[in-house]
Amino acid sequence: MKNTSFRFLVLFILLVLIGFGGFYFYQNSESQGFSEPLPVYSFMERPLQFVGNHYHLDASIQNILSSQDKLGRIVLVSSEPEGSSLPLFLPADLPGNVEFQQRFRFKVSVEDGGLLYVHSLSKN
Amino acid sequence: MNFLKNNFFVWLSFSGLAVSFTLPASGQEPAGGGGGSYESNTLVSLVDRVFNVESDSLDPEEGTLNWKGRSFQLGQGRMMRARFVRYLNTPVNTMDSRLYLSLLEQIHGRLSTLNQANDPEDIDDPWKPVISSWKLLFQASEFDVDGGNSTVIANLVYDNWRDRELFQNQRFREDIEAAERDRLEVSVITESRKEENRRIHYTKELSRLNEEGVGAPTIDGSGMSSLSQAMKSLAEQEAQLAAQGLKIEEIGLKARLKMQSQIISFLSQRRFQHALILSSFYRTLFKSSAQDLEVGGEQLISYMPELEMIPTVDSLEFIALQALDDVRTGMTSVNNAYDQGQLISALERLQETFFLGEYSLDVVLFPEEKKRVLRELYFDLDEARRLAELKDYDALEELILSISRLADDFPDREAISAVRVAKQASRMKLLGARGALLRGEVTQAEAMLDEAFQIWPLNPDIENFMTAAVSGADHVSDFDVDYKAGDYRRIFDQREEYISALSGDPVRAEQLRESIETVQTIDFAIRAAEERLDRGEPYAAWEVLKEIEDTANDDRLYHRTLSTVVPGIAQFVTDVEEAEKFEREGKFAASLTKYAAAQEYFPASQVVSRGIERMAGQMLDQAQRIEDNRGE
Repeated sequence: MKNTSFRFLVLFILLVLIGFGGFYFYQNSESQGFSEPLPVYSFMERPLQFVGNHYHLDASIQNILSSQDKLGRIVLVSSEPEGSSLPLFLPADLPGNVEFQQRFRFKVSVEDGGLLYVHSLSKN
Repeated sequence: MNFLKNNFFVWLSFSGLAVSFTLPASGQEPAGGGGGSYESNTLVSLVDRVFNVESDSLDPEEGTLNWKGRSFQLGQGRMMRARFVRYLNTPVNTMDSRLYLSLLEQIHGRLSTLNQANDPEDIDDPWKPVISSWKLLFQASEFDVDGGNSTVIANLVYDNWRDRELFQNQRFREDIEAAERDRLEVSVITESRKEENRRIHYTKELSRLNEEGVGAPTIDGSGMSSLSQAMKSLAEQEAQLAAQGLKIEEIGLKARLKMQSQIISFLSQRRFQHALILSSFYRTLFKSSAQDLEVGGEQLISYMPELEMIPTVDSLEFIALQALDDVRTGMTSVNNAYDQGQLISALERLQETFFLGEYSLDVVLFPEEKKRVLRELYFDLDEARRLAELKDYDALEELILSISRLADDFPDREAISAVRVAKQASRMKLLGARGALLRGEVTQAEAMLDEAFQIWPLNPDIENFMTAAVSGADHVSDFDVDYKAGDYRRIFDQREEYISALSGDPVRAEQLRESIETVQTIDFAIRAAEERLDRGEPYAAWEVLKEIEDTANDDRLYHRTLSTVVPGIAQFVTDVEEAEKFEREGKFAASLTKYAAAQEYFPASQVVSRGIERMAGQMLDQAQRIEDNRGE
């Protein structure tokens, strides 16, 4: 009886650990390299200081400034919750549409010249 | 601008002296203007009406006096003026003149009484009043004012008596001859003295005329009046008779011719009293059948068109009486005008009357103190004419005020007004010249400067303008330094000097024009920014200044104004400046980020909007390069 209870307890703990491990794995695989939110104020203050970094950014579409077929679009977004305007580059191969005032989570990298390159986006 | 090109005319005329002056001369039609304008037409008529007091009886150009349809030759205009001035300067010897007047009146009175007796042969001693009158002629001739004309009459009368049968009467002849002897004794001394004085006077007069460039009077007969032609005909007739050998009856004819000739001569010389006396003698010496003029009648009719009849000695006497009456009336008019303070009118009437009755005692006895005042007025008017010719309007204005204090009837307001209009016209032309220079229209500026000078050569502003031009060489080099340094503000501040200095240099004039326009643009923006700042719109004020940033460059006034605007919007300005800095460095995304940050402060900013638009395009190019790198 004691052995049976002990075995169940060990199994339960293993299952919990497996569950946590799976969740952790899931979490890591979901935001691989984009786990930090973009420090909007700092970035706007010194955009060139963040070149090479990866962030995610919650923002709503404010304006599409320019676009080029097969290349992509320059979009002005309003960051949340700061409400600051930031320009992003959306490559043409990104799936989905973007429309005015739609809210997204953008996974971005800071490229040369302070360009925010969007790798993926998902609706919030 | 047409009105600036109009010309102005002012005439100040005084009687026969034609004291006329022309303000801006010539009747040129304004270039490009319509026919006539306010200044060139209305002013002319106004000024002409105000100043033209010229008498129609005197023609100074021709040197003639027109009186009741008759024309008297007075000599050249300058001679006329000289005679009138001499008259005004001559002191009045009242006592002598009155004695002389009394003598002439006695002579004429006695002869008139005799004539009224109708038939002198019925009286016991019919020639007594004639002889007594004849003797008085010698006394009259001793006065300077007589000019020896009484002697001429006496000699004519004596010659007539000598040729007549009546002269055979012993008693009559002795009486006459005694008187003639006495006269000769006195006249030899008197004439010698007069001749000497005359010679001195002529010498002085000739040298004065030579100095003034006036030709001495000639006696070649050219320009003779009708009277002179009549006299010439009489002289020719006399010569013809002498050549044929005189008969008794011809002697009588010759005597009549001589006397008729002399009467006409007296009339032409305007010695009306002597003409009157000689006519009276003529009437006593010749019967009524001999009253017609023997020769020269046709010329005399043309001389006296209103007679429309055969001229007689009576008609000549009538003319003389009429002239003397007019002289008396004229002098009454002069005195009345003078007493009422209307000195211009008095001077005009005096001049007219003087040239008609120069040898009349009414004119000679005009009070000396009045003559002195009128002489002062005459010289003032003459000086005004000269000042007007020289276009010295400042001095002319003072003189007009001085004249107006002297003469109540002088139209000083109109005169001053005309002078001021001319001065104003000159100033406006000069202003136009400056404006044209400012616009870089050098040729028009030169033309307008010339017009300003023509209207008022002594305009002090022209002198300043010219002085600035003289120092132009220094200004040219200064301008070059300022222009190269882009110091348009200094060029603007020194524009008066530079305009004058660069007027003949089209390249630099164009640079000057550009510089001035630049500063005017900056100043306009500064004023607009200050207005917005006053309304509490610092971002809009900055926006206005930002728009002319490139034009303003280092303009100190611009930056001073900007420094008053920026402190209240420092973060916005910093963002824009950093955006521009990133843009210059080719970091377009960073620049766009900064522009986006700036836009949050002032969404309406056109500068920022244009920056975002510009950077969005540049960012696409940058994204293209990144994508290309990724592909490799």
